[in-house]
Order: sequence, then structure tokens, then C-alpha cells
Amino acid sequence: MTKRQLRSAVTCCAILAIVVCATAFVASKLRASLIDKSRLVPTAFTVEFSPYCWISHNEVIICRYGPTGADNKFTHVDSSDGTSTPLDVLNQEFRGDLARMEPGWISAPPDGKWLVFMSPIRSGGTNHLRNDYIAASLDGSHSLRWRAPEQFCHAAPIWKRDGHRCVETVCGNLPYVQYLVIHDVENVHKNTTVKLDSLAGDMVGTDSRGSGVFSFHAGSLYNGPTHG
Amino acid sequence: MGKLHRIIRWIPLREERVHSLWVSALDGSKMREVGHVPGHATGNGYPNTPSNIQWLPGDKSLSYIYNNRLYVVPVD
Repeated sequence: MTKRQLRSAVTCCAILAIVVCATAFVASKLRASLIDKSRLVPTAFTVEFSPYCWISHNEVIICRYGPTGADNKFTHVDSSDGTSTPLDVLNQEFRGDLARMEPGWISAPPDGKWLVFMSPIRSGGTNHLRNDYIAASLDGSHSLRWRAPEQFCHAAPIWKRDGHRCVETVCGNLPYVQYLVIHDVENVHKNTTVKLDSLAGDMVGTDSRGSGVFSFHAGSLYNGPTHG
Repeated sequence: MGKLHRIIRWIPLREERVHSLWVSALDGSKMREVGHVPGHATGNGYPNTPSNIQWLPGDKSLSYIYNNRLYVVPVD
């Protein structure tokens, strides 16, 4: 190999190394930063522990926590411009339950007509705490309440796609889901119980056929029946 | 940089902790990263992670709470 050939080979290697390093650098910078890809929903308040749920692509209901329990309020937020509107009818109707609400979840069906939340209640002046599920239509015209079983799973009910049935998970020893109760908010007498074989996981949704989808702590998924 | 380090050892490997948000089809296919945030601990010793992650109606975007604020991210 002549000196000239050697010089060309070294130059080629140097250029190649520079190209590889530059490509790697650019690739690392292009790797998706979640915040850069995201859009901030402008709210006039912080949402640190606030449960929220979407009722349309642009509308979100946030349970806004105030300095005291009496200041807790369901608030409708337009995510495009941040316009916040307290849901006065619901806030007035359920002010006692709102004052006791703890950070957790609120849940709405796909059509956004109902809101389900949980209210902890001390019974009879004792320390015994029971929990009630409350389902209320967003306009406040209808509501129903049912007591959570002692072994409720601390998870938000999952709505079926029909918009009026929600699935409550009931645990034995956490995190084992023992059975499901399907509540029909339009007909309280049509509740259905589905026994399960003690699944260790959380119900995360229903698929297009109405089957329940569970996530296990190992990250696997299970499709099981939620049909009554 | 990690892949490059495996090929060319003298390129230093910089350890980076991140919390990543991933989505996939129900059967585990089409798994992809939506994005990530730094995973270092905050003042209280706990890492600040995206929480309360939810799908928006239409299943084309996710929302999450991070640094006490609500964000929406499209999922392509």
C-alpha cells in the first residue's frame, strides 16, 4: 500500500467515524421527550392529586381540591383554551361527599353523560369507614348510590362502550380480583355478578367485543368475560 | 450512545435513568415508546413520574399528570 492509499484509507475511516458519531448524537437528541411531544392543558389551578376523566376529546372533568374539603369541586375544563366551569348542580348536590373525597379517581363513560366517584363515610360515629359509589348524570338530574363491598379493589370502575354499564372489580386478598359487578346506571335492578378465578391484576378496560382486559403485575394481559 | 458503546468500547457510556411511556396493541405487537422524562429523584427523594395516565376518547391521545400539571400527548 502506498502512502497515498494509506492516507486515503485513514481519511475515509475518520470521515466514517465522524458520520457515525454525528448520527448517534442526532438520534439521541431526536429520541422522544415526552414533555416536548405533549400539549399542556391550561388550568388555572394545579392538579397534583386531582382525579380527572375525559368526557370528550376536548373536555375533561377534574375534581379540583381546595384548601379545605368544603372547597373541593367538580370542574369542567375545556382543554383547548383552559376555560374552567364548576359543575354547580353536582357540587351542591354532593357537597358532603366532595368534602370527604380522597385523592383517587373519578370515572365517566365514553359519551360523558355520567360521573362515578367514591365517597368514604364513617358510620355511626365509629372509626369504621365504609365507601359508597355514587353515579350521577352530569346535569345532576339522576343519581344513584351503592355501597362498596369491604373488599373493593380501590380501582375506578371500567365503563362498557354502551355508556350505561360500568364494571366494578371486587377483590379478595389484594391484588386478587374475585368477581365483577356490572352496574347499569339506567336500571339499578339489572346488576350482574361475574365470578372470576382470582385474577391478580387490575382491570384496565374492555375490548371491542366487551371482554374485560386485565393487566397483571408482570405486565401481561388477559382477556376475560365481562358479559352478564 | 449505548449501541455505539457496544461497538466501539472507548466511547463512554453515560448512564441515564428515564421513565418511559410505551403503548402496544393488545397482543403485544406494535410496541413503541411515546416519550420519556428524566428519572432522577426530586427534592423529596422520589422520582417525578407521569401519573394518572388515561386514554382520551378516540384512543389517539393519552393524558397524564406531571409536575402538578395535566398534559395530552398524541399516540401515532
